[in-house]
Amino acid sequence: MRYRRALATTPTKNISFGPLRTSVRLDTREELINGLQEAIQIEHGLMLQYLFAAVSCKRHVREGVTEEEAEVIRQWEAGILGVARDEMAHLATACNLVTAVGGSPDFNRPNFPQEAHRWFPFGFQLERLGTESLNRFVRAESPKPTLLALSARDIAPDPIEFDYVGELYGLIGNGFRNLVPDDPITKQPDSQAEATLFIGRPDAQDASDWSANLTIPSITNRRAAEAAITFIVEQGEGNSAGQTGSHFDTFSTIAREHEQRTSARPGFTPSRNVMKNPLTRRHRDAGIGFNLIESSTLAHPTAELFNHVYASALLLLMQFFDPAGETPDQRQVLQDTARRVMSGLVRPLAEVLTTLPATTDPRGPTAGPPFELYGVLKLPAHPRARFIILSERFAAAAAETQRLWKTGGPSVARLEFLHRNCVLVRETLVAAQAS
Amino acid sequence: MLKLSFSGWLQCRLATDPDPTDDPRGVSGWTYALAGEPDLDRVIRTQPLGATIRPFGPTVDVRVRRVSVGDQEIDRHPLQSASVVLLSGGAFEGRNGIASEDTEEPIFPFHLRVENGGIRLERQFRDISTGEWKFQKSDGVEVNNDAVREAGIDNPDELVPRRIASLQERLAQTADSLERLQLQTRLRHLAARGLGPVPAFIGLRYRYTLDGPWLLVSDPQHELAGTVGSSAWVFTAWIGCWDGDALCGFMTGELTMPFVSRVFSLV
Repeated sequence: MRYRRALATTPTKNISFGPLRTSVRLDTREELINGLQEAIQIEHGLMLQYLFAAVSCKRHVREGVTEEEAEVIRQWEAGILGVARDEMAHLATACNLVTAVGGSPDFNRPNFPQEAHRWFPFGFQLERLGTESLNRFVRAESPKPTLLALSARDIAPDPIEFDYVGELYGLIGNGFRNLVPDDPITKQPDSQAEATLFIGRPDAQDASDWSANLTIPSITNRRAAEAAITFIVEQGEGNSAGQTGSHFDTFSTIAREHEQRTSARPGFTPSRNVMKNPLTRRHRDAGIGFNLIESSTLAHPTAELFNHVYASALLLLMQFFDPAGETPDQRQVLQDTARRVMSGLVRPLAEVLTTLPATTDPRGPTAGPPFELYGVLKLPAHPRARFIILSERFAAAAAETQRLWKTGGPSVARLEFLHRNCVLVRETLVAAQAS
Repeated sequence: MLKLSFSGWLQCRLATDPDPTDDPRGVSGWTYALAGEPDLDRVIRTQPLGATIRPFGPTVDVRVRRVSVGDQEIDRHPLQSASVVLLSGGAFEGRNGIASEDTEEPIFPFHLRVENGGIRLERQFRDISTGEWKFQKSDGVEVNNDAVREAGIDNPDELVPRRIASLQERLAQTADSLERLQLQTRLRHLAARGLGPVPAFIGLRYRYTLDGPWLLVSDPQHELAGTVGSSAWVFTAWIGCWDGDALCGFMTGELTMPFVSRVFSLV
């Protein structure tokens, strides 16, 4: 572990991540990978919280809103979903960064809920759209008022402590600069240090836009890493020119409009009465404040089905980002299928859950997508086995969607459509395995 | 051979990526149900019945424009101006790319009826060995400027400004709160996204060969002056000019079928 003065002496040509108040920095590969893995968990967790709030939104006047309110709520939902999609791009970029320096992305994370400072500096809660969730979203995307504080150790990597997402990325950005300093003569990144750090396979990175106009850069050198980090931070917080269009701005605007609407019409509620932090079972890693979906309800098996499909989507992403001999065509199938499963299965199943009672009390809340991980997600070493496992999972999802749609009645009628999606995804994966 | 050349606007109220294909209202894609409108249902409608027409959008009505028997075009043929209808809830079966890639979406199920007065010609696109609906992707994308002109679009660049002007004018005139909300929503989307991501001249090309016993030919008054055969009918079409504001597209194509004419013998 090396201790250095803050980077105040770094040439101003470089991208700045803000002044440092600490003399401790990420300056080993292990620390950098740990920081990036932290970023992956945070982007993942933020995306799920935004998605949860979005799918809780009311859609129809029969849900107790006027036509005009329903239109405003749709705009809010669209805004939140747009940020969630950006978080997906941030997640993919963080995966590229960790791949570039020789790590492999891990999509495991603690189950919801997580109170602040237990696992992350801010609370991770699955909560319907409303004042509390919006305040939390604004907080999560707000610009950093303070900077990192790290304690130093020797052989063991430093613990990573931060209060704001931007702080974490500042730490990571400076970590890249620590490990690839500028050549004192050329003032350019030291090429030898760059070659030492960037040992990942470039073709293992994700260079597409996921057919959604997302910006996901390939990372092969320090400048690209710094630019990617700056983009992520500015998309979240805004930049020195202002915050218009940033995630912080989007959530601040929605929060302000929500407050105005609530004041203008007491009783206005933009979201369904969705249970906070719903779970199908207890988990050792979940924090306090969870609520169990009653096992006798239709929501319970539907939530389990949702969790199964969500975990399958993560396995698709893990296999895509951590190839073990998959052909380019197979990797394309994995990427396409992951994206399609998110739009064509994860989101609609989440929406269905927000309409199903979570308890036997007719006045009780509805369920929501729990995003539970029932165990550690892990891939086998061989592509063939990976594809077989994925195919089995979607076969199981197809069988369960069919069972629920045939026995569950009109409230889950949408599952008939989703059953066919599961069947088709399985067929695609079987074909990819054989190719 | 009897050849029916048809064209006209259709409507398909379908949620688009990244919304789930079965999304009922549309949130983050470029199509959406307006306040007061029924939920999106994915069904392709070629006739006004069941369509949700938006002011200043095209008139939904696909009809036979020309009829030929053999090589000869027949004026005042009994199928002239016949309605062309898709039945059985046919939809563009993309499912967010799960069923087929963008630009390859089949019309599924495909069940066609051509009808005029007492004449009805109808056929279903099914697998001859299993009887299941056939799932056949489009032949891909094709540029068709002739179709754009046939659709009545002289200058595609003027479509959005003209539509915006019409909607603004209407907005200034109406006091109806629901209509105002609908107009304002359309104006906001038009300003942000225009009519959608696909230029008018780009469309999907289809060619379906319809065979098997799933057909109906009804001509009780013998107006056709001949017999329509049951061997393969061929449906070809180009569908483009997508109008994301009105949820409409333009279809032009042909339906050919074997025909034994009492006047012309076998042609």
